[in-house]
Amino acid sequence: MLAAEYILVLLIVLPLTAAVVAFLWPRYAAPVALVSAAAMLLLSANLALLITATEPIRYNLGGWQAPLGIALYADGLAVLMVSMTAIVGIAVAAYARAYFQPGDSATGSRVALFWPLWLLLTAGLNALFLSIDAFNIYVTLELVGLSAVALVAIAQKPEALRAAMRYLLVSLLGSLAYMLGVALLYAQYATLDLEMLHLSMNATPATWTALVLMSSGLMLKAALFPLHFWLPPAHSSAPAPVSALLSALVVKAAFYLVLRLWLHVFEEIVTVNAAQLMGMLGAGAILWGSLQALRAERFKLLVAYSTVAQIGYLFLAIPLAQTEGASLAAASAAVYLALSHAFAKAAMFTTAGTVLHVAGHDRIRDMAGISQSYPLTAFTMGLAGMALIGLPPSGGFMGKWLMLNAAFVSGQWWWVVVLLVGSLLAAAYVFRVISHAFTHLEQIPYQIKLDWKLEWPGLLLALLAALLSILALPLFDALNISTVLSGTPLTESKP
Amino acid sequence: MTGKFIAKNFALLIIAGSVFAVLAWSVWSLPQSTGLTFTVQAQMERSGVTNPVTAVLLNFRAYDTLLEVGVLLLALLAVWAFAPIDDNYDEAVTPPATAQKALTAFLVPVLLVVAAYLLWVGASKPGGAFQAGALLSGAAVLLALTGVPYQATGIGLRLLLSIGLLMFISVGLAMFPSAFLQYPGDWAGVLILVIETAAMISIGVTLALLFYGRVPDSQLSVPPKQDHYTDTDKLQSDARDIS
Amino acid sequence: MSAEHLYLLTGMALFVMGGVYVVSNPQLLGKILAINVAGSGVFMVLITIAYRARAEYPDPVPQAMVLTGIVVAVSATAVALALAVRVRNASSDNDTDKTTEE
Repeated sequence: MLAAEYILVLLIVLPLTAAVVAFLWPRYAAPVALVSAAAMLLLSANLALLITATEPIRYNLGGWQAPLGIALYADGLAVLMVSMTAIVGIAVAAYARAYFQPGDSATGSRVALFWPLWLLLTAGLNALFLSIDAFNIYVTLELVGLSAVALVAIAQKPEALRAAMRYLLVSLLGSLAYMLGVALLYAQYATLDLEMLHLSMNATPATWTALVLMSSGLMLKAALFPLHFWLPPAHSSAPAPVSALLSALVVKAAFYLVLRLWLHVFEEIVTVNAAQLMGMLGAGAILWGSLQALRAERFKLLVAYSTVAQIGYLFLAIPLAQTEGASLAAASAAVYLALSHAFAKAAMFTTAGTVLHVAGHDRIRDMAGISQSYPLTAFTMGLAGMALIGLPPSGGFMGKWLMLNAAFVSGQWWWVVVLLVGSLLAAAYVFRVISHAFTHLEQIPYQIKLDWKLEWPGLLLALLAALLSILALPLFDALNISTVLSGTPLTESKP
Repeated sequence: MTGKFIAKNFALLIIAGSVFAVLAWSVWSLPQSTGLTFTVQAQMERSGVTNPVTAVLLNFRAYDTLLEVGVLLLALLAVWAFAPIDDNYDEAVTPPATAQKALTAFLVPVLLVVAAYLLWVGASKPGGAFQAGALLSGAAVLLALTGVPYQATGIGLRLLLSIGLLMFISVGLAMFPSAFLQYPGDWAGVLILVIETAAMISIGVTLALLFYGRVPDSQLSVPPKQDHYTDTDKLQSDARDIS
Repeated sequence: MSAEHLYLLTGMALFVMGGVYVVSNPQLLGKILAINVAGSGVFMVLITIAYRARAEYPDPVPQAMVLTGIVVAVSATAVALALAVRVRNASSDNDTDKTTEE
């Protein structure tokens, strides 16, 4: 067992180095990537075990204390996010290995670049989740954003390229707004360390503006309604493994930062009205995203709009956390929903990719016969759908139940209505897809045998999402994500 | 000037004006603070260099710089992911004029020397790897515009591109079990120079290749074909754009 | 109003102008240039913050932030421009003139 600090560093350095290795030797890019994915899975599991035994870990890089240097930080929330990245990562990597065939007309020639790009994305995500320095987070946001754009564009199709262009411009604008906010914070408090900022926080104009700027930038990157316009084209035209990564992980990174900022760093100055506004936008996302998902003709477009809706649920945690008694429930709910959605959405996108592979299209109306020829894929669709709707014992159920709990305790009963309507709409669009996929045809149209790597990663992810309530309860208690609300040590903690 | 044009631009003006007003309000009452100047100054002796900005970039906040070198490499990979494939890296659209050739012949060595100087002086005055790398790439662009074809083959090029990031990570791991990105003993100055040299090479080559904006076919080696399908019809249907 | 306030306001104005131009102008190249203008605005704000330090030398941390920011901005602009070229070529392959963003 390694000490926790080493794991923090390795979680970032390993994918970075592996990316360079995969770039230098494209022949071995895929094996290198898969080995790294397995290593990161082990590392994050190791980290989870260590964090349950001790307090949150803070590690000053280069030996320089804040505010001079940059620190890495891991509490329960960060560890859960890193684990989420590792689990989704290895599943999607296995799927991508089988999905990208050299003979493909589209990504064909650029397949070799998928692996370094994916590894850089993972390095950026881990660096983001483990960072506690405001400007360092900006650099990690760029790392994540550029690799995400490249992965969308790797499909070479005109609509993917246009979607990637829009995504890039949106991402850059968001990053700039975020950086301006950081500049204002530095001018006001002369530090970039999030914990020091939290301790020195005062309600000044610059602080307020910084919060608005940083949140706007992050809302753009998280595709929160009404700034979601870039997501459906990008996630629906990207190759299926890329869509899985983007919906499951990249948008969560932005939300994770919003959660940290609103629930901890800016806690003193966040007003009830501002939090309610965030919740309203979340409600808008749920309703708008679900309605558009109902109208979608293509499977991948439906799943992409479902992401818009599910992101809205996450933002409901912000107003719910403002009340004392409900804040832990709200934060836990957000984390449950984030995890469950990551697994379920990644699984759903892998099934969409499989449908595309076997049928040549992903029109929902013509998806009959899938369950006959590919029962595993259809089962995955069902399980993932179950988690998205929020049926027990899925993680979605646990998250929504906790959120209802928080809503009642804090007296904000209007969110209950939003949650119920959202779940009904989710059920509607999920059943729409399921009913078509499970329609039996007299003549089986699909003859292709699928590589197991095209079906099992999605199935395992969907199982994880569908059973998350059972599996995660003890883990959640142990990881004690209440530290996201209470604070972090400023000095290095010795194990 | 249609009504719609006026209305749209008026709305934009209002929005821009109000956003600017909020931003102006935010900076009006910023406290007069010396920021982290004195904190940095107190640690300058241990940093291994005498220029405070270099100390911050390559010692106190070296992790940011490491990620930043990664972002630069990522940008090139991103461009290669969708750029047109072109093995003929020759930028001279028209044959270069004599004056252009003479100027290039004069400038390129000057640029190389100034780049080396900037790299060296970065420890005590403004300068460093990024500035030097930019000059190197400028020299490469000048050469390309004058018709010197660029050989962009094989693993040699990829090594040049990656040496910056690899050196940074390697030096960072020098004291790894006890610390990351901490320079052992009195070696800070030397190690910083080593990192900067490697970074300069990588930055120069990366920026030059970003200028070309195309990817040579030799850099996109296709992995050996894997036999995942048992149905030959499917292999034929792969010719359709299905992903 | 001191000189510092002027610089700060100019930086903010550049940021706002760039941002507004990105969302309102249909030309791709214009959007990319506007992002750069907005970035320059943010850098100007940071440099002014460094200048405000008024100590033996200007505050090195915002200066380092600007240097890092410039490298990131250059990388992102390179990707954006290459992507814009590719989008235009892909569109003209389909016989529609799409230098504007949809």
